[in-house]
Amino acid sequence: MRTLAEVSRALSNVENRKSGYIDLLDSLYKKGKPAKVIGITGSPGVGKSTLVDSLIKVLVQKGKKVAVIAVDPSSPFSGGAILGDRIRMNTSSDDVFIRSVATRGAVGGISDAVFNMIVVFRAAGYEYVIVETVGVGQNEISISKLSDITALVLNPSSGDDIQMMKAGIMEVGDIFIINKSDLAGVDELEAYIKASFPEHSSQVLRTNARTGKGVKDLLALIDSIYETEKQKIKDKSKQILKEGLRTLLLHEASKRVEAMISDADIKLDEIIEAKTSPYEEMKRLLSEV
Amino acid sequence: MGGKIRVLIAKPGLDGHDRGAKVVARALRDAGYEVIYTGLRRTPHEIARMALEEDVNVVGLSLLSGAHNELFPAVIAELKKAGLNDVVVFGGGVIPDDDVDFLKKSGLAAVFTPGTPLQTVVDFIKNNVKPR
Repeated sequence: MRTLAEVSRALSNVENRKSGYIDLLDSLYKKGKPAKVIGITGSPGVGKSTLVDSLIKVLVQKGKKVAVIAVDPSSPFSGGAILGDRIRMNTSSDDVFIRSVATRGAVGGISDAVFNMIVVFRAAGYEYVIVETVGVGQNEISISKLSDITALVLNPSSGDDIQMMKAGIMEVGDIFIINKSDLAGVDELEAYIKASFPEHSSQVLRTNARTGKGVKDLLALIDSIYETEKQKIKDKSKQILKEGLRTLLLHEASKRVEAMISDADIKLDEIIEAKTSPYEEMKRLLSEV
Repeated sequence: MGGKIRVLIAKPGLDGHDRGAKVVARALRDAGYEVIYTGLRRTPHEIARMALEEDVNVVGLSLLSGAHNELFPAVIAELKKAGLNDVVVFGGGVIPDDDVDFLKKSGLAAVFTPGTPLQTVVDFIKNNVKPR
């Protein structure tokens, strides 16, 4: 993988699970260097993409190589998607690689693709990988399971203390970013967050993504977490690997189940006559694996 | 699992009118394609770079400023420079019929002028672009 075109095509092959992609990833993984993987999440319109653009600018100034995976939803009806995160990303630099990804609906699909795409970026020498996703509920595969540090982006007047108590999205944040901090209600939101998550009180930041205000502090905070909480980051890496492995296994398992269903000599007539049951049949098929 | 067709809808140059580009982007989304929108006022170099990073099969250029005879061939040249020889490029916008031949000779696979039904654009991709 020497050229950008090769990196780009590798990302496609991995995302499309083109035959041979596992072997490709295997060799890339072993060549990969460590990278800082940062998740940026939050509701639509809070300024995630603009914030990512500001963050890119600061990183490029420091001479870092940055990859961005910008995830937007696929339509469950047409399968199509509008991927519009690049509209706000204007930093032209050879050290930046931005890839838009559609969720493609499949259960665990995004998780699998993103985990593997990070492997590609690491092998290509990117030092920071920023994954931007729209906020998801508790039951979804959330980006917090795949990134070392997850930053939750909020706006002033995002809600009161009851919103903070609701399970789900608020719990994924390692860092809380109050973006559009020039708007009214910043002090109240910061107080709510600190009261609800006292253990994170030093990880609440104010930014104005459009002007870049506070973005250097954000990067400094991210880097300092890597410096001071090495054990926590290491534990997180293990969790991420488990999650990646889990989705790989689930994908292989579902392929095998499909093959089993189409190839197996299932005793359908006997099940209809209630001589056996779908349950007994399941046990029989499993025992033959 | 086959690859999805990915389309970059791009606005080159100094032209702030993107209603048409958005309408086309939406129609392509509804036809099942993954559509990446560049946003306004991109240089030909930026567009080629985005096409490279996104590994798109198709680039659709929209221009209503009248500079299509300059900018469309410039984008084609940048795409070639980036090694993207298998990307299908089409254009649309306020383009006089007299310019269509020149643009096609410059490397555009199709030029859609005002009044083109959306289905024509969708069918063009369906018939001319294969997933990788």
